[in-house]
Amino acid sequence: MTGLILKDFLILRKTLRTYLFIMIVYTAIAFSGVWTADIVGGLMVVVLMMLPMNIFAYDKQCQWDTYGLALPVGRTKTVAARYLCVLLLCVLSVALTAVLGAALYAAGRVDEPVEFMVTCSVMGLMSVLVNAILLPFLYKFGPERARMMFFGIMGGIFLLFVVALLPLGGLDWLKTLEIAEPTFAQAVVVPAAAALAGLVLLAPSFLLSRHFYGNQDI
Amino acid sequence: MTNCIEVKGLVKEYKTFTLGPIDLQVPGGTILGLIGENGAGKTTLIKSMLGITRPTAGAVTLLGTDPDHAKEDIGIVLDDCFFSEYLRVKDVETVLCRVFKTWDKGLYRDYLDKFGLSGTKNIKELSRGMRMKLSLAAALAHRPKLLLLDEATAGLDPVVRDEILDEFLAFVSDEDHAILISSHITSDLEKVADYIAYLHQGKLLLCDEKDRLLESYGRLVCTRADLEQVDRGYLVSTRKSQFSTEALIRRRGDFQRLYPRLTVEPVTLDELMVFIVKGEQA
Repeated sequence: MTGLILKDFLILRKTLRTYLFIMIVYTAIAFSGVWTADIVGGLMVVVLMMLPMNIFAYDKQCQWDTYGLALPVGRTKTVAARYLCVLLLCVLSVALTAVLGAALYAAGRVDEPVEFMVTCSVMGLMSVLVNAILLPFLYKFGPERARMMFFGIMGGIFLLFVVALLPLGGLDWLKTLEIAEPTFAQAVVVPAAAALAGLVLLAPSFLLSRHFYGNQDI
Repeated sequence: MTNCIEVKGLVKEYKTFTLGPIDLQVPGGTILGLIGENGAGKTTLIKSMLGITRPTAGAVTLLGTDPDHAKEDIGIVLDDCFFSEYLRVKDVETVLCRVFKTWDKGLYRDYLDKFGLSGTKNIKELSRGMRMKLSLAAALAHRPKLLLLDEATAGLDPVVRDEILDEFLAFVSDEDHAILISSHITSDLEKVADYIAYLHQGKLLLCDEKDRLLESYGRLVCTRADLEQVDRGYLVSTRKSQFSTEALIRRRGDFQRLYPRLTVEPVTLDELMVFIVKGEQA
């Protein structure tokens, strides 16, 4: 299983370097004051949504699945390796975002470090949620179709959200909400709860992916 | 001599194609050459044997056990290189040495040297032939007992093909080892295979010792009038054109004794395939 996780990281090597560069550029822009530091967390979610799609697309390009099933690993472990890889990517991305946030804080560009930590955790959880939904789609339909379907679903959810807010005054209503600054205790609890929630979300997703992959004729 | 491959009643059904039922045995220390035209079901057979695609019916035993338990001892090369273009040659080892318990790093490097492959090279930069060599190095480096090769020598120049065929012969010098190789290059199979299995439209038309096949079948070149006189029991199929009449005959020795006046030439695997697919059934 370690071999398969390593394989995913090795084929992403170049992509990861590019994303790291983009994250640093965004941090630099946040440092200059054009954007707030929260943009780095937002970028993380987008990056973590793209990476698994890239892995599946690269695998499909070289028909790795056919070869992978000839290896002494088994279908369950193959899917588990992919989930562990995605989880590792999430953990590393959250850690990187926290480091970049710390750098911005040290430079005086983050006013509320506790709020940044909470935002970072919520973004991390969102990344896991996105992948928990996305991965079974990728196993069932392959990267091209899954990508289209996923964006369609996300677009639908956003549309529903906007429609639901219409009676309250639309998206502007969100600006009227007064959300209290998070306490230090919340800053400790939220990341822990986010990590736990992430694992809980991934469990049914893994079982679904395993089901799809187990029944697949390659 | 125990069987390294045993296939019993294997069937794989698709909407527009059915493979089988296939019965096949490959004893240890031998090479089985699988021939057949494009789309005959060769790759499907290999995939079904490995459980990559799930058979509709039948049983497969590889190295005396079920395919899932035998995979540690199976080397596989399918009709293309399955390693991502974004990997380097040495990355293949980084991945596979953690997959196969018996991976031999020294042996992998020996094969890379032998095939002229540099570890630092990106797979993207390799030609098709070099990629096939890489696949072969990866298939052999974990010291498998069974090799399943699908068009493994395609795209290779004759010199390298010859080297690889020698490698295969050395591999099966161990009585516990066996190879199943599908190939369109039938001259390679004539050189190394002990058995030949011929798949046509999903059905196994022939499966026998290569020498026996090549000895028992023959190509009769004669006139139409001569052909009319021949006992139909000897004829497998015929090909008639404006200028010549040819027939594939069985039991060549008996036929020649019976018709000493007629010319019967040895048949090649290519000719055997063409006669069966394109000839008129006698």
